[in-house]
Amino acid sequence: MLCEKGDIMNKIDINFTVSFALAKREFIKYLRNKSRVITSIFQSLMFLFIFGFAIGNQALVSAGIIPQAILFAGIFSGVSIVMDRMLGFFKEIMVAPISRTTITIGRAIGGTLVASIQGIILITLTSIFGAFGYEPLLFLKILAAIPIIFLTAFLTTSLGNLISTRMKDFHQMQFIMTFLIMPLFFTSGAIIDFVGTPFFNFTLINPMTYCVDAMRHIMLAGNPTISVGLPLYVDILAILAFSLAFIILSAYIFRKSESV
Amino acid sequence: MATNIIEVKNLTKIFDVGTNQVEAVKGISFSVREGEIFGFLGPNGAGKTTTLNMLSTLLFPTSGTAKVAGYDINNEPDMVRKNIGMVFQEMSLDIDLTGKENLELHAIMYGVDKKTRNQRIMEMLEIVQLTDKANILVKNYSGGMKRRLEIARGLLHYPKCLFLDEPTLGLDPQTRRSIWDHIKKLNEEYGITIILTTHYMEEADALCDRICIIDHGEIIALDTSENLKGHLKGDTISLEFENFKALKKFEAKIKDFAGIHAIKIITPKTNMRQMLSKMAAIRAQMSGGKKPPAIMMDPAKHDAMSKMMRSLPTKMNIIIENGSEKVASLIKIANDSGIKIKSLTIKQPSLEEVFIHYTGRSIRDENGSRGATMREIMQRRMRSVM
Repeated sequence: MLCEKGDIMNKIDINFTVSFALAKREFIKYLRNKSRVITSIFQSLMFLFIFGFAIGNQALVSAGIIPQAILFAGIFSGVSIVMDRMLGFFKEIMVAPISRTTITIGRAIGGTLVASIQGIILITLTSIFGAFGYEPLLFLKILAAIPIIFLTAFLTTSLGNLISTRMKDFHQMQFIMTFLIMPLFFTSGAIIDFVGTPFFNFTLINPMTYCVDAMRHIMLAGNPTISVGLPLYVDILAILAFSLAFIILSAYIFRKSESV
Repeated sequence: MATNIIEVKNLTKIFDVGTNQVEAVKGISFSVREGEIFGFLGPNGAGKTTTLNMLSTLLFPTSGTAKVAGYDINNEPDMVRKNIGMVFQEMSLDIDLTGKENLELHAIMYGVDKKTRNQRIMEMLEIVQLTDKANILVKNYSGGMKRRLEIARGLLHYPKCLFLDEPTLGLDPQTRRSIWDHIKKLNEEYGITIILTTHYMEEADALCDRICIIDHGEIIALDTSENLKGHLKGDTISLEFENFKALKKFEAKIKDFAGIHAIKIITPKTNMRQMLSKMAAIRAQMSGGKKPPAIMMDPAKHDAMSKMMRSLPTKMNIIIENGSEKVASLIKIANDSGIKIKSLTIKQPSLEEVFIHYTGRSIRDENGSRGATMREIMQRRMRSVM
């Protein structure tokens, strides 16, 4: 009886000190890896110049590009557990007396931080380049967009975590790029605006649609070209719901799997 | 009498590999005493790592159970983990962090108090002599330094017992010796129970109080190195003769020779039963389908037959006391009866012989899975390049 109780305690036991330590590790690693920082900034700028300035309606596309950059960063952060698995560090975490939920939450926090930083760098750069026009309220808009950036980062990292529970090595990364990330990217309405078309209802199964929609609500407020499909609170609730579903599912799968 | 820190009962692990089931560990039972160095010796794929992974709660046993430091591995995995230290076969450090950062993270995960954390880390770094390298990224460490840091990490939370999976795999001889010294020191000065796996005979011989020989998931022998060797009772003289006939003749001659414990005829690779059935087939063919003659024909006249004869055993091992003194009289016996000896070697007993004695063959190498091979390559690269 005592053992059963201990088992249940273990399942719901979350040690936040450890979660934060794991998150800190992720963050330190990101900062030390200069190439990763540079790549992410360059990739975001490339998106911005190709899609933002080449296709018309700069502001609309720019607002959509920010969640996409976070998508790439977040998935990569989530999937980096596969790298740990390949390099062996994963075992050290698995043999420690901490619950799997603690590990999952630590990874989510760390990944969210890393992906958010990229989002913040990009929103700052796009604003400097004048994608949203220069207006007195721009600075406030950026501040208001930061919570959306965090939510998007949390969502995509959770999705990355979920993918990583079933990934054994990096050979499957190509598969995930083609069958998951690219469809999420193209159907989110970031580049092509689906609002007002019948296709929009179909894009509601894509969690990124809500991120793009929320970002537009904030960055394009007062802009005549604004095009949003849902109220802001619906977007935020949908993002939270998707994130929680992903994180609970990945914690569940993770807990049931053996460690080596 | 010392108490048992580990008690294993009928531990079994079956892996599903596609549609096949592979029984990696076949219901083993044993116990480890507190304060001893206990070694698993066996070839790759014998089930050593699987056993260790079950004891450290990384794998669920298919059946059976074990108590580690007083806790059940099935029901109280968390308590087991708190009381053990683990050093994996493959490197499990974060190479992008410094040595100290690796230890700090470990201390937090094992709930080491914030106040004692730093002091504990310094203490462990001191034991493995890495104090001056504490703030260097692990990717700049040598293979031996990484191994030492992993051992320090395994000890950081003061575990009751430390598991070491192939502690010196892939290290050069000097580094290996220094790791051995560290392990001995930990055991002698700090009284930590150490359970290690190895496929190096000399490692098991040099370190372990007791050795558990494991092969195909079963325990074949479990005793001290001395006692295991004692079963061999003497030196091994390996002899090679011209042919099977000479061998048989010599065997008959030395039957009553004093001091011989055992005579083992080493069978060539061909299966004996296969050979006999082939032989019968050849004989049937030669006699043209008629009933084969009762007496064997002169083999030299028939090519196939002489080929068969050549694959009969021509080598034997004699286990004998004071082999080097008695070898002269053995040769004399052979000379007197006109038996030609092609080659002769005398060996002192080693664990290698022990292993051959118990398993009937020498330690073998086996191919790993693709993932494992990939990891191995990456690890090797990490160790050598960085």
